[in-house]
Amino acid sequence: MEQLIIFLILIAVGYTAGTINEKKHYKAIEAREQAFLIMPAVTFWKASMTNAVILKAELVSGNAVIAVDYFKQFLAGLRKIFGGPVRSYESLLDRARREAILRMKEAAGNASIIVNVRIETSTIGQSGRRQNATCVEAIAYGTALTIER
Amino acid sequence: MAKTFKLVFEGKLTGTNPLEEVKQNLAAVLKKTPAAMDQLFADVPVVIKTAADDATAAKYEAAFKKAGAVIQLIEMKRRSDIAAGGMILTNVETVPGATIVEHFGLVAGNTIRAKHVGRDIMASLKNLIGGELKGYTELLKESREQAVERMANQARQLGANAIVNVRFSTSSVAQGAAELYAYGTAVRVE
Repeated sequence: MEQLIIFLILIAVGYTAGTINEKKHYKAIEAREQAFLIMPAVTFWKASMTNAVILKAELVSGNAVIAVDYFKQFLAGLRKIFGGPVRSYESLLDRARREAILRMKEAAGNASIIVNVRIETSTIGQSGRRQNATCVEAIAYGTALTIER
Repeated sequence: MAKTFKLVFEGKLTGTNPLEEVKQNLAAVLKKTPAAMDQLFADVPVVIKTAADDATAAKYEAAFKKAGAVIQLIEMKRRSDIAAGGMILTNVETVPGATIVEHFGLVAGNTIRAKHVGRDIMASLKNLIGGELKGYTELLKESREQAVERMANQARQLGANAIVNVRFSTSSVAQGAAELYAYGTAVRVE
């Protein structure tokens, strides 16, 4: 009985804190994405460089480690029984990637464009008993070009 | 990223005002006694400010110019630039805006990092409420910078001045430890 109560409390705490956290993060991400629309990040590079004079090229990267909350872990655990899409983890990865891209853009300073962007994800497993508990790291890197306007 | 400047005065004048007047003006600008001005005009260059941002640097420059003196703005290198040691890094096949004259082949750098217990406890707490793990983000960033530095060192030994087509990869070797790996092709560009 006690264990069940603790479990329910953890779920409740995870749900409220996790939801608030996520909403706050998404709001911040969206605002910063708006601000950085001026600096596009693209996955190709040749097509954009037809007759521009490039002043500077440098490697930039950004990373973010995001942890999943208890409620989502529980949902994912349920999903593992029946199979199917694990919605609760989708937003986790989405947040990590978008945050990483934003940090990369912030690292690029006043470059004009970031070309050849690559995004990688890796999980950082927790040691010990709670194998389910995960956090993901997303890293985004690309070449920031300063173009003469 | 904003630039940081070191402001140095070498005793240069714009030539519009006589020396005594400049000294008086500068004393007023820097809020110092006229006697302290002799130090400013001594034989050695004087550092006025060590870390000034764009706005502050511009302000000082204008104030000194008005007083009839020239201040030197020395751009401070970013730590990430120093880590790479002037090595040009890109993740495309060439260095845009330059020509590759020589290839040196593959260079790589790696580092394996373990997280420590304190961060682990924080992480398990965060796993309850979710959100970003700032400690891990920093740790991985620093480690990756170290891997890049090692790769740059290797390239430097070969005589290269740029690394193109840089790739990163991460793999976990043991429970709680991760390997961060950076590799690319060392080249010389002109």
